[in-house]
Amino acid sequence: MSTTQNNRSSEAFRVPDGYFETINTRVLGMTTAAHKNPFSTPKGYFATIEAGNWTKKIKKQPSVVRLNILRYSAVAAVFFAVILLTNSPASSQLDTIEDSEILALVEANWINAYEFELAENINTSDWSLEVVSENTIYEHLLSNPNTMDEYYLLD
Amino acid sequence: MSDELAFIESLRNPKTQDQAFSVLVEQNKERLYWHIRKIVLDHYDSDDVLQNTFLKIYKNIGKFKGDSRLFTWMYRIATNESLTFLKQKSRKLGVQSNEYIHDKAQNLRSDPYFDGDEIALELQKAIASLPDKQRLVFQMKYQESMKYKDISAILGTSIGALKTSYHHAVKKIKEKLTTDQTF
Repeated sequence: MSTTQNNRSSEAFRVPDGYFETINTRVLGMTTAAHKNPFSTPKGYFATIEAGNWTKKIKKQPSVVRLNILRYSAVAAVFFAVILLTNSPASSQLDTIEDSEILALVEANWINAYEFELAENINTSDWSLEVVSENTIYEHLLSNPNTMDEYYLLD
Repeated sequence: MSDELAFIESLRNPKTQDQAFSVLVEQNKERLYWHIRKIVLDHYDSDDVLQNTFLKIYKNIGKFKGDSRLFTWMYRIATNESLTFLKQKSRKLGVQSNEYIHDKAQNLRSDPYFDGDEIALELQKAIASLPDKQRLVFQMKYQESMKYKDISAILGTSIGALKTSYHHAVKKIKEKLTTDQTF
């Protein structure tokens, strides 16, 4: 469209008084507001952030004991024991063993078992099994700061 | 990149770890802080999250695979720590995390460390009304001027999905500001 034709079509329309003068101010105001940082910090805040205090705190923490593998192994051994005992005549009472009782034995580290024993004896029928990628595991661990699993699962 | 590899090695080496970590903190504290602050809004909350972030970086530097830039990895940790913090806080209050951040934004006017004017306040409220992922994308793209490929590396989302998310975020913010008739 030529400049003449463009000017002709714009004559049919009107704009509020002073409209074009305010565009810059309004648009710039919005973009400035979006980009200008409205947040501030206490005076000298960043100078107080030093790595030294945190590394001291980390080094004071006791070393991690990989209890989870022992825990799962212990659960497996308990299941083994339960299976063996349920085959005996006086085993009816063992059918009523609660999960909490099993966990109590696990917590007391009474049992030592291999991981294959765990794999054979854990009931996975209630589990929703799906393929989990390494990246998903990594992201899960990053998003769960209190888990101790990170100390061995990422090896 | 080779400088970064050497720096990462010094972070992993027990003999040089502390000194290298000091350098890491000094070089990245402000950038990470402001990223966190834009997510959690409150200065004191941001301070907590920043500390958690650096602690996590220190503990897990040995597990950094080097498949991304160091800063991308740290940014990812900061983002996840911020979101986890919001979830935990909101859970304690018995509300959803987006409800929590929405309330925080509503109260920015009384925050001593918020210096924005009315426009800035309304914009923050509009941003806070977005779902978490959209809010993150909008913040990182528009307020932090990050490239889509960097945002993709941090959030683990495809560039196409990010562009869509950003487009929807801008549309919702526009609608919100128009509805509130601020402008």
